Amino acid sequence: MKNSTLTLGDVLPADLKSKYADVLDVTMEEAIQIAKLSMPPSSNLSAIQVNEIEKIYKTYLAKHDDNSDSAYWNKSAADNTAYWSKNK
Amino acid sequence: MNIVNRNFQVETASLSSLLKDFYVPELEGLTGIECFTKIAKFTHRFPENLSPFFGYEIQLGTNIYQADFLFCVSNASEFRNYVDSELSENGLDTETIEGLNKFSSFWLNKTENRGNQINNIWFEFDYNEIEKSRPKACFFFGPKLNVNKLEILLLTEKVFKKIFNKKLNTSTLKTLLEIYLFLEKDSFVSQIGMMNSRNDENLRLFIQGKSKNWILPFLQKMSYPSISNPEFLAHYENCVRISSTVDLDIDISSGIGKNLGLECYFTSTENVLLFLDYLVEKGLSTIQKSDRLKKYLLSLKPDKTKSYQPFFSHFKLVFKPESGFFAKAYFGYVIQNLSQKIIQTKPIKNYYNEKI
Repeated sequence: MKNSTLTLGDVLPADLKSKYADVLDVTMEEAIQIAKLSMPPSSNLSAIQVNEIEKIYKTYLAKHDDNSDSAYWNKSAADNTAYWSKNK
Repeated sequence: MNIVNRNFQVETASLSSLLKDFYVPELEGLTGIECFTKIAKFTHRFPENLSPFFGYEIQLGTNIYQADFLFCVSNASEFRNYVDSELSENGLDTETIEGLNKFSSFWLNKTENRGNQINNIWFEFDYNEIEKSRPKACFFFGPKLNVNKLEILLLTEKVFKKIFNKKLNTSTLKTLLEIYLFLEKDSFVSQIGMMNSRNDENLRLFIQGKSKNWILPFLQKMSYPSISNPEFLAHYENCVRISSTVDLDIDISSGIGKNLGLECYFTSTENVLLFLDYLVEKGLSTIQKSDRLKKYLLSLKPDKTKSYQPFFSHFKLVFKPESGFFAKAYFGYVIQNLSQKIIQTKPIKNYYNEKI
């Protein structure tokens, strides 16, 4: 499958669209690479635009803490048993 | 693991053999013997270690005894092994096997990153599909909770392209993002699915809330059109009153769909029974189904020596503004080491022996 062509402008709600009007054409793939992986932006993006992309990304950070310590579907039986023993 | 069947033939342990191992006569009273036999035959293709959590969905408002079958997969490698076995046996249609093949590679991160953002997947087979030679499934995936919501949009786009070769509308993904913004802290979308066997290309979301009465404020924020429907409000209030938690399932496209489901979970079996009585009183369950489900609940005996635990999961009240409510019950089996996490309803102790 080719990379997604979805842009920030395709999915952001109206209030964020007007707030971040300069980055609406940036693809979601590139936005995530910039904000999450600190990848260099394409040459036509300014530092201000990069900053705006990072702000948008932060708006949609998970509200949950990283649940690395919780019992989890894809953990081993031993990990889950240890979790439940600890949390009884 | 291999087992020896009654004809002394060695066969690979499957979900079918688990269903047979856990068979109790009270189950037949809910699914019907013909349906149970068909599901047991159908699930022979799924290896035992494929699913940590599987079970039945039945309709309560009818005296037709049938069940849909659902199962969860949480291990990408086990899923890949299953798909490999289907590839070698050539028992599925080209379209289905191509989707399973592409998706399982994606989940294993063989082709690209992002597959590791999936926590688990679910397949649901409607009974009328189980009867077909080439059954179609409804499919759901659970994104991990710590994934950024923008990434979940890309993940969703990829998953349904892989599994069903469907391109999602941009407006559907926009609605999904809007929902994430409206959810309160600690509420989350546990499953994102597509009811493919029903030719429905909307996304179906299962949303779990933290507070008990979270659904109404959320629906108000989403401008749900039937929010003031008196029947909806009355049932919603009773769901909140009797259940310990109520989750929501909704369909989305360019907005939130008009049909929804209230998923009611209980910590005590007494409240399950109370809720069943409520469903009978409101005409949402037949007395026969209610009595049979009560008998099944009574038959559930925790046994920590077994690899799986049978249990009652929850009720769902489906609301369709044009036709009203109907009710379903879900029960199944969960692998022992997940049972404390999954089983919410404590088993009953000598409560209904005299009453039924």
